[in-house]
Amino acid sequence: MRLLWTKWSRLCALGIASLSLFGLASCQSTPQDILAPFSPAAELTANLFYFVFWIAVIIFIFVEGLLVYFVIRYKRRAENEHPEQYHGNTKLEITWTVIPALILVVVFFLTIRAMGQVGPTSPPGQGIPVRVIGHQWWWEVQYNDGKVNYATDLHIPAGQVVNVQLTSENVIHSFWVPSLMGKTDVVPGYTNTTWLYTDKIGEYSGQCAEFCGAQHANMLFKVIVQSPADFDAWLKNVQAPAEEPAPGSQAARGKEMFLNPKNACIGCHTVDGTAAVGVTGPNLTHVASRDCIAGCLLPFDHSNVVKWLTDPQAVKPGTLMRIPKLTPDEVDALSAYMESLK
Amino acid sequence: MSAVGKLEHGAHRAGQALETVVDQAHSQELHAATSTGLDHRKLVMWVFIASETIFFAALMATYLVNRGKVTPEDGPEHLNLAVASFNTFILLFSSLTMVMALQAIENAKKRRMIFLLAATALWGLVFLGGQVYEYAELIANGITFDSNVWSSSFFALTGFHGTHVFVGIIWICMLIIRALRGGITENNHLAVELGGLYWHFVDLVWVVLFTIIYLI
Amino acid sequence: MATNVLALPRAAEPTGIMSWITTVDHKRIGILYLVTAVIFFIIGGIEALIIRTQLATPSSTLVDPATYNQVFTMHGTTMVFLALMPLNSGFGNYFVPLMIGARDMAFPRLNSLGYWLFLFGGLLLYSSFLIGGGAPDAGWFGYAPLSERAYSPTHGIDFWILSLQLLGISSIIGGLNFIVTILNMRAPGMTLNRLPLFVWGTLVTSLLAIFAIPSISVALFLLLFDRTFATSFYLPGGSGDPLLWQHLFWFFGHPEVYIMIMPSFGIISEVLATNSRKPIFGYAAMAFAFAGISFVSFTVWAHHMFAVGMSPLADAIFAGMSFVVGVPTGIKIFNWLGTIWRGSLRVNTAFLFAAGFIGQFTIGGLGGIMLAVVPVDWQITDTYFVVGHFHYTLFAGTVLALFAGTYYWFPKMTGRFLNEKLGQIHFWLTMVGMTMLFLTMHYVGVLGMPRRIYTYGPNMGWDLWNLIETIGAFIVALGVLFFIVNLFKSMRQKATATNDPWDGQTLEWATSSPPPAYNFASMIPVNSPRPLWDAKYGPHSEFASNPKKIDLSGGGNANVHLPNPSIWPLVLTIGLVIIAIGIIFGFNGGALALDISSMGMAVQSLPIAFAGGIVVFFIGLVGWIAQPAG
Repeated sequence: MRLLWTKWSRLCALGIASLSLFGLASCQSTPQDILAPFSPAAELTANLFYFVFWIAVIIFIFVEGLLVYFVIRYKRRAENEHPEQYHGNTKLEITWTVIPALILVVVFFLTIRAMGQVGPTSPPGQGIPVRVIGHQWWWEVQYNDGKVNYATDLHIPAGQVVNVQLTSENVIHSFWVPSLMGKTDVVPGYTNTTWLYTDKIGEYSGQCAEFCGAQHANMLFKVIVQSPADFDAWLKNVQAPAEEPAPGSQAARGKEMFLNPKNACIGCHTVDGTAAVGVTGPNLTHVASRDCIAGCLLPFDHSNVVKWLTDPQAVKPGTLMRIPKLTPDEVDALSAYMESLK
Repeated sequence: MSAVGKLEHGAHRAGQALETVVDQAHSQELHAATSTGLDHRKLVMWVFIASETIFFAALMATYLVNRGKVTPEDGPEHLNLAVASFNTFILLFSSLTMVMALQAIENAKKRRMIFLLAATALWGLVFLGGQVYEYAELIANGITFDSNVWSSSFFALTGFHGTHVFVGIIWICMLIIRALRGGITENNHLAVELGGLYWHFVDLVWVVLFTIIYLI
Repeated sequence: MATNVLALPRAAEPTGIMSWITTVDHKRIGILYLVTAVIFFIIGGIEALIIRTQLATPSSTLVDPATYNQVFTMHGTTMVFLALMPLNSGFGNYFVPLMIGARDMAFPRLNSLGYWLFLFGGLLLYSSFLIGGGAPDAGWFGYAPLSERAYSPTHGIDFWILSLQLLGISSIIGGLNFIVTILNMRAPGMTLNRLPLFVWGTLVTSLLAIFAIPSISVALFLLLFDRTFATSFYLPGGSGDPLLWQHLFWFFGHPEVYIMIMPSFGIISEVLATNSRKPIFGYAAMAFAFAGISFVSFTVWAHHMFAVGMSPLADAIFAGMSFVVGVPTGIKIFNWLGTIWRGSLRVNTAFLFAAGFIGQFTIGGLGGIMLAVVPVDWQITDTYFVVGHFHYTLFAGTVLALFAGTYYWFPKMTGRFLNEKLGQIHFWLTMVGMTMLFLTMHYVGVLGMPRRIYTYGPNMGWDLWNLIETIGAFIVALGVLFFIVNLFKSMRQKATATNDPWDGQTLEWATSSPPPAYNFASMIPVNSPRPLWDAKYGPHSEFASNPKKIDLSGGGNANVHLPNPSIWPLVLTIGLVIIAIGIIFGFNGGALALDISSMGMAVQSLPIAFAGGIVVFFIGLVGWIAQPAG
């Protein structure tokens, strides 16, 4: 009896400890929690998750309860115990075949219904078309049939359906914004579609969800949901050609460096209105208006741009970004140019 | 010889006799016949063939999904239906000689069996010759293994089949050698039956290949 | 009752290294499988600890991403192909012939070939660290095009392809052998509906193996062609299709998970029945569930691909079939509960692991149901939820069952008991550790953590959970350490186990511990799935306080003719390995030049090595054929 009590008190202590851990953790923000939905589709999915989860919990408690009870109740008490030799029980066996089967039929029905409501191929309507292209290891975003070429931040207007076309030129990626929508793989050779819809203004983090090589972990992006007016303003800005730096300024020197083939920038990057027309790297025409750089690993600010231009391999080992070793002075100039590209 | 001596001698003889049986189906001493009545080797051959069907099914699926991805002039149009039909006929004919070879040894006609096995192997070689001819023709038309997904699938599928035919020919040659050295008799010809099973399977696969590559 | 067979002259049981290398005895081959696989299990476990240590804290730089990708690829490949499958094969080799009352496997030399291919396949895979320029790095399911040469230029993937081909041949050979053995070599009276459930599990696994593995063989060949001969089977640039790989792979890959778990279901059934002193509850339903799960497993492969953009109809069909798997799985769980219900439970370590299996595997099954709900899958696939889920099936499923089987059968295999105290410490550490490790993974997956990321930011809310997982991983590792210590400690003890230490029901307990080379000198009649129980307690299985003593080992006097040892399986394997290395280095045009500069002459002569491999292979083949089987 005493032993049993110690066991229980230990269990309680364990429970309290884990609860307090939970409390500790819940202070942290969890931007990719699928159970904290910010769109009707994610909400419906979360509700479906909870429904199946609670069924699972009930079955689990039932099985564990029987298991623990049987182990305690039927533990061998004497070496020559004579248990009765049951070989089965048809009624019981039919019961535990039929009941789970019925539960599964219900779940299957709910699955089919939900697929029609939140499936990537069944958007609630036609809205703004956006093309998202998976690269190693960053996301390219195109509006207006490719006329607007942006990276890493996907701006969308609130309250409108956004139809997303997904393509890849290299390996398989997967487009995922947990708070808004489930995954759709981005498969080279295919054009998959999905959609986004929410009326909640805010920033939602997304991430590549299919293993795609060295920097899969840092292939991040943001979905920035704006009011339609803000979205239009943003779109107008990024449609304009790049801003010309003032002559003689630090930024102008940076632009010269940028365009100098020796520094290898223009092999991969484009800045509209200049000689830089490379396409393997992100379009930098309005890079300074972006929230983040380096596959959204770093927020866009002066120190991060400097860090990135000084040694990209140190920030993202394996990244395809190549840049010759620059002096701190050169890095400052180049980053001034980048920061001027609003 | 004393009574005990006779008994010992008898037991020894019985032991030798049993050992011969054991040699044929070793580790079966506890219950001499197999549970299914089928010889181990025959059963394993059937199960192996079942496994091989998945191998070819996967290759055929690959061929079928890639078939429509090229224009006829990129490959399919250069196929030689005449050679392939001839090859199909040859391979079916080789199955016939294989059946006859088995029948021959069942009727204790060993020399006839060896002759028919040799004929089967020869038909196999003719088949491979036809395939080499067709490959050469395709290559002459600029269609190689890496030209396009159709050609890759075609060469992979027929190549793996051809390899199976080649293995079959070696198998039959080994049967002939074994027969010449007295290892195959009318009472011990399971080896011929097994080789035959494999050969018929490979032929059957060709018939399916022929249909999906040349006919549909 | 027992009928003695004729005594035949036979050499004494051989000893020494050569006797192990040339052995064709199913028990010795079983032990070779088990020992080798445990070593690979430990290596795979160390890789897991590297992964967990890297992820314990956000933005960790313990390993660089390239290394991390190699480590998790090797962890998965090792655990699937070099640990769990061969551990099952090891127990199968040792116990299937014993449980059906046979003297050996149907094809003893093929059995040995299967082992050598496994060992050398594993060595080939691991040699990629040293001579491949790096280990494979595209994940254990090596999705094309990431596994193509353009995206994985080292030889790692080439080593992966060739070693998986060798391991595939090994598994097919093993499967063929098990099928024929089980169908053909049963003791008189042992009909299919009297097979012990472990034998059922092995039979079903073998059938799955021979039908599933050819699919990955083809997939790997096509990948090899892409990488070596510039074809484009999986390259959209050449109008190939990356999804072809996924279909071919998962047609193998899904049955593969059942290949790994079916024998475990069998082990659990044996351990529970014996330790409950009861027959299996609903034996027929259990056997049908085996067959049912395995059949359905061939129709659910695309539930790994709900997010690739298949049509809603295809998604719905594969989801429906996946739900169907839930029914026979439920039947199994409830029948196990029925087996211990009103039993007389001997709660030893083996039983604890079996009971732990039921409790924990249930979570794996329920997680599987959640993943089959397509919209939910779109959210949680490729997250740590999936990682947690399949570890609940393969760790809480297969590994716990293998531990149960080890504690249960160790006395039979060695004549020695494993230490109960260490065993129970091992059990509780495993339970606590794995719950912290794998249950937490489910949660962190729901919090949106994708799998296969080498690092994550501190702002994601995942750090605490990852730390808990890592602590759990080390607790599991500590448990395994207790297990290893237990193995060594017990081996140095006196052999005190009797023939039938657990009051067993099946035939392996009717011979000595360890069994003689010929297994049985005589056989008892088989009239039910538990012939030994019938023999001990009478045909109606009424419990008697004085059970009959049954010993079929012949008391060490039986002289039985056994198949000759053979070196040829090993020679054949070495030939195949040389051919594989020749293919890896000999035919890779562009990559070859790179290797010559780094490795010198050795590489230039590799095409010669390829030819040499073929010669060795044929020497092995001819030697094999020329050697009399008996």
